[in-house]
Amino acid sequence: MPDYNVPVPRYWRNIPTYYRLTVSRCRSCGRVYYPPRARCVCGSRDIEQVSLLDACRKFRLAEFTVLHSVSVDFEKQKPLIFGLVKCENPEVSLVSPITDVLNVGDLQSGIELEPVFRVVKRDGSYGIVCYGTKFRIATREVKV
Amino acid sequence: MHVNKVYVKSLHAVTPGRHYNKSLRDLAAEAFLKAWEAAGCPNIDMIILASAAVDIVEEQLLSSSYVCEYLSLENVPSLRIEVGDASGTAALAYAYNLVRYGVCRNVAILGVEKITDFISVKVNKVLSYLCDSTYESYYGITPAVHAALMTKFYMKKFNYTYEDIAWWSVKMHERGASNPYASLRRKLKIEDIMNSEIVADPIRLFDTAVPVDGAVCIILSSEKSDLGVELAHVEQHAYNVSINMRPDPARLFTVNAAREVVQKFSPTLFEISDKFSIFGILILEELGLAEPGTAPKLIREGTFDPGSKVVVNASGGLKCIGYPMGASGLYLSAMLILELAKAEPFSNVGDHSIGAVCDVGGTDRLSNVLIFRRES
Amino acid sequence: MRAGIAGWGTYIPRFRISTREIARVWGDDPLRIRDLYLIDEKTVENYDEDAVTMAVEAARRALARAEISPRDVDCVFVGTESKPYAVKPVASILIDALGLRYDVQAVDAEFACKAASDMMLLTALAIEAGRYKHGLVVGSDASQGEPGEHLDYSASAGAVAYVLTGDREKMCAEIEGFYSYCSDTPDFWRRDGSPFPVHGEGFTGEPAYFRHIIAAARGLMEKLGLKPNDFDYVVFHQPNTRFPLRVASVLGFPIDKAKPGIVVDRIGNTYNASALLGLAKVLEIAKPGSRILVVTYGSGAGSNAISLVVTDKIEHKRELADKLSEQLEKKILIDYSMNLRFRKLIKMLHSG
Ligand SMILES: [Zn+2]
Repeated sequence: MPDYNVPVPRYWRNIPTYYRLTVSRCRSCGRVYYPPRARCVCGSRDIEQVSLLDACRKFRLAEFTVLHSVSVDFEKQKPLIFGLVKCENPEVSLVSPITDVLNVGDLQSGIELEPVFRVVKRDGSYGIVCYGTKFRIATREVKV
Repeated sequence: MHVNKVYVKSLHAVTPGRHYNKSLRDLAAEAFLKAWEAAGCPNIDMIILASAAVDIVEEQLLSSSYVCEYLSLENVPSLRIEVGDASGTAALAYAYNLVRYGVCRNVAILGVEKITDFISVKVNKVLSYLCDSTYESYYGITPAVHAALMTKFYMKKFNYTYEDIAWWSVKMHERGASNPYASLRRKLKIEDIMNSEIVADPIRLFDTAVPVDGAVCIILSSEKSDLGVELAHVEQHAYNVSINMRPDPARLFTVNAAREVVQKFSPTLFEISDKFSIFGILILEELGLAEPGTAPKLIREGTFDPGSKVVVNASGGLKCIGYPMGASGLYLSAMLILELAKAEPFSNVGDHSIGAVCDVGGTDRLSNVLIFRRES
Repeated sequence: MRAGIAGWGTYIPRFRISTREIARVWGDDPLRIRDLYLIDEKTVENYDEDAVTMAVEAARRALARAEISPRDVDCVFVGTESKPYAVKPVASILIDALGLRYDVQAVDAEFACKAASDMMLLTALAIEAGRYKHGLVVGSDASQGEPGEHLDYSASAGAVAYVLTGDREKMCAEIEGFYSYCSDTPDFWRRDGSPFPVHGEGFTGEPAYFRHIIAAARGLMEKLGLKPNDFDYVVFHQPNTRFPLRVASVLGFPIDKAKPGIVVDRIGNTYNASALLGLAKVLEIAKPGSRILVVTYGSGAGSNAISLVVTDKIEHKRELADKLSEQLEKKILIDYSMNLRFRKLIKMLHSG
């Protein structure tokens, strides 16, 4: 067997969330969940998956941290930056990687971000390339 | 319905650290056999293994059964409890009910972790499994990321500097320097904390609890023992909600839920999980030992030092003990029991008859509060 | 033709390195290097970027400008020569990343830097034939250049995407006609498994770049009965700034018609995205009625010459996504060592 670690069916199942940042929205009460849920706190099981890329055009950075002590899959990407990202519509927050930052001083609470499709990790030399959604400082402010 | 009182029959804690020469089974055997012999080798009805990562590190399922085989406990039923780093106190809580309701007479709770077989980046990966594997660990998020965000929100909310937070660690190392059960037995100055390597800004190495190997065994029984300590109450709370979905990331809601029971028993001795300094600070505030926003100030002023009216982490907490993950809460419990029993090295702690352990699983996903009472 | 552009999208990495910095490392004279290529800076893909990620970003912008639902796209074609997988398409990743339907035609094509333009023409033909309503075509490359070699000064990363349509209400530029010219001319190649391409230096010029571009451009003008005067803008493949300006002059176009479409001086050679990014830059300024000549070039070798006429929908489209002109400004300059790190050119035991 070639040397690869990522269980591919698991990655494949999660493609909607990784690529398009889908969240669960309750059709009964409108609550939004990330990570997704099978059942809403209101009791409803009428849950739809909504992509934040379609629904939300505006993301802001609430707070962030620079992680130096990374785990094994991310050794060559350190340091990693993670932010608490607030989406305005629907109202939901995410802890997400922040990319394209060389000078951490460029990041401040409240700054506008844009989602970007990026490589999360490459599974050795023979496994798959795992993609996902990160955020970076917005190219332009979104007018709402 | 008749219920039994639940007593601590005996305990033994192996000093945590890098036990490269000992296997998980060796560590478990040492903790169990010493505790068991101290109790006079009673018949054990059940062994409960508490470990966060035994299956990942040892590549072993059914680990409790293999540990029993190593001990030649060929017919003792066993199970393993895993709720991350709160596994130990969850196992205690489970055993408490087995004894209290007469299912078992003697239950051995065996907390074990063998993490130093892995190098640090692999340890970080194991720790990251405390976060949501699919939605957080996938992207490289670890508990330190959560703790860093919590710390930043807390600092902003109450206008604290990083130095104010770092004092927690100074105070813990003051206490732990003379604790033979501590893996890190060294007094540290505020500069040492402030200059230690950054883990996740603003958190530095000495704000964390360093992952170590460890094994601790506590035998609970319906029969009294010479220790004279009773497990009087168990309180478990959950808030199964990810950090991004929380109304306030700088809160420990599950700990707050245990506030009433703490008021009711009025413990004066505490061992609390300070896996990151922010957890220690928040536990004090959520349990009502400190008003919101005052814990960093009070701890620095020595309000909770040994010899005070209320003593917190006379052991030095997890900062000094280290972080044997799933066994952490059992170490805290063992320390508290020894403190209540005024055993060495805790004779200076003061005279306390009721103590509490507060253990937190993951980023406030669950917490266990255990009330111990010394028989008068 | 009854097919044209409904929307375009561009994506270039934020990170840039100056040719001066590259020259510093290799002991070259930065002024001579600048004079040789007329390139000031080139893009460097971040560690977490590749031809796939850039393709997704460019395509998202193109869909926004096209003002169609991703569900209305009937085909997705990618032109690239730097796929992260030797076997496994980029196009299929785009389907799920963009939320396209699954009953679409999807494929990657390779003809050095030319394939994306071929896919545009094939899509236009299928639209004209009534087989597709809308098609998505992406050119994306995170190209390889051996350190210290000519390509180190130019090979860069970027992507461009076009949504093509047959619907005149959505069309901001109509494809008027095209002409292709190809031959076996090995001026630049990369063998299977080789990390860097090899080229024939001067041989990439006259018998390759110039011969094919000139033949395609002249063939198209003759076919359509047009003269250089009839075009408002000309855009050529841009391995450096000298080549497109010289070929414009050989073909009889004034330099002012070629300059607006030059992108290589600020971002380097983005291969499949090169000339098509130049076209995007022109679309950001062109007025309704403008006629644009685009001539792509792919080593090995061949050219597609395409004539487009801008419609009155153009002004409205521009603001629907961020523009190349904005992306050009939003940059972070890095040094050579960071460039090596990002491009994974440091030998390591594992990638991680
Ligand atoms: Zn609901």
